[in-house]
Amino acid sequence: MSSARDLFLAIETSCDETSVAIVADGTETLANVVSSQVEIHAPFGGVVPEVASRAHLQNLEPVLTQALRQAVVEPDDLTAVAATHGPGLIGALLVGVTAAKTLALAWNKPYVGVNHLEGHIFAAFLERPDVRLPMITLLVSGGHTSLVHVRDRGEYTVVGSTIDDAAGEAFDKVARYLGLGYPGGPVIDRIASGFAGEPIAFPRGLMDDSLDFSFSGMKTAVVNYVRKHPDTPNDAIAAGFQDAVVDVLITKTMQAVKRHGVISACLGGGVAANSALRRRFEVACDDLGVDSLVPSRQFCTDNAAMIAAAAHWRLRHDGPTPLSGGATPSLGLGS
Amino acid sequence: MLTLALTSSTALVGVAIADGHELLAMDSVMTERRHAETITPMVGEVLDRSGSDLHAIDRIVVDIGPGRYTGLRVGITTAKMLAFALSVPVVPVTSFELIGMAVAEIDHAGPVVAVVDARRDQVFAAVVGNGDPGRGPLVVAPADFAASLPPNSLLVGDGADRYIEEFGRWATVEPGVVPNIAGGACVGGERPSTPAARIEPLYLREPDAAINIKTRPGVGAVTRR
Ligand SMILES: [Zn+2]
Repeated sequence: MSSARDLFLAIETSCDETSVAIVADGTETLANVVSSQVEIHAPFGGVVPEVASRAHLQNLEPVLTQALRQAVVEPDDLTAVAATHGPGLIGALLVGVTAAKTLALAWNKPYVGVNHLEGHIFAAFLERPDVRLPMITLLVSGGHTSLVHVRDRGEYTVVGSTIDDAAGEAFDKVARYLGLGYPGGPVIDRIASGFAGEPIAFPRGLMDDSLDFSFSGMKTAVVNYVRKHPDTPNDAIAAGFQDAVVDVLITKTMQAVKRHGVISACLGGGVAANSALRRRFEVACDDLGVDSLVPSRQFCTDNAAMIAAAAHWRLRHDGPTPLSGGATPSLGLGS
Repeated sequence: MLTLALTSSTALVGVAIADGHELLAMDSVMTERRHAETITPMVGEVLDRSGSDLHAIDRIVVDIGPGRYTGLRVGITTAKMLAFALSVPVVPVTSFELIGMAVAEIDHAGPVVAVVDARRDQVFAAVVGNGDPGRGPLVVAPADFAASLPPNSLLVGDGADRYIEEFGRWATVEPGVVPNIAGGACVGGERPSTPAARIEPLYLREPDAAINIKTRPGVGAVTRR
């Protein structure tokens, strides 16, 4: 192992994935182990905070062991230990934060607390360290939907966000209503991909000049449509709903790209794993002549590699986080 | 045998280091919500004060509860990660035992019962001295527990403090008793230890959503991030 490299070990436990990653120099992923709790939460139709916290505590040590083995890294070789310290579920965050702080203390390394949203922004640099800034990043998941103007690393302005549900939340609610199961995003994606007919046309929410999003009306439109046309097959509805959501996401993102005159556009968050969104995002960026960054799925959904990448930059920029640091469930970008 | 002991299952966050039965250093503070913020620096400070090197520690004693879920996980996560980094085993002790150690010197003829606040109008309870050790751990409503107490009981712990009026009519409550982490560190050397991976919190209760799901599916769930 070359000692010239900066090796960051990061822990991500903000929601329902327990993840530990080891990343070299902020870009080269040596290990990115993710243990998903989707199956544990499926009977509840959503993530149950206390259930998630209990599972993180059980999963952490095996995931940590696997990451160190996979990366072939000794603790002595590490530069720092990082963890997501917000936003997220407080009990879940505290497992990762406490683990990272303790390892930092025991291994005598600096600790770095990382903003989860900044992690999603840095996911782009893992595969494309050469990315040109400024860029617009569409952060889209079950917990948030926002457009971030990234002027430079560490310089962010949220230029648009949802005024009601997050996009991933809308996917979950529609899937639950249609009886398709949980989580909603992947199942709707799959059904829509296999559908060759004419999707139902649903209204697009909040298609005005603003860069804000609204998804709750679209969910209501689905409910009203099914009441009126109970015999419509689920796949035509799922495909139509996905079309509408993706349409709004793409339109607003491209509006932001034009308004802020950026040269790149990037996707991040769990919903960024949606195949229709990924496809149309690249096409729309091509049309506008901006560089499109669509990280591979393992770096879009919650993972610790993106936290390690952000930590690498944060440590140089801000220095270490004190071991008296905690977690902030509602941490925002720029705070 | 150098032992480092941790507790954070109640409002008390405590760290102690002992060499066999000799206490080298300890610290503790009361905090409502800052368990994670408090415990990591405290481990570092207590180590410094004890004059020992972290890598000389032979085993970790940890309070596995019952108690507050989040505080409990903070302590157990700290213990597991220390054990992982130092390649040492862990000795689990219950919050009941640590509370019992705090009153070991008290001269009381009847049963001594550790009572931990369980929130949700319940307490966790177990006999820790002079009684039927088979009694407990219980998860019980304070009123039901009070009515079932054997005569001449002494109740200690934050659950006894919280319901002092209710319990006071049936038993003696010694208020303000907290887990004795120094005691935990001093007995750690003689207890059986276990690999850190086998350490589990003593929750004694399922998550609310798991209880609710039988009657109200979806309640308590949030959406994914
Ligand atoms: Zn996320």
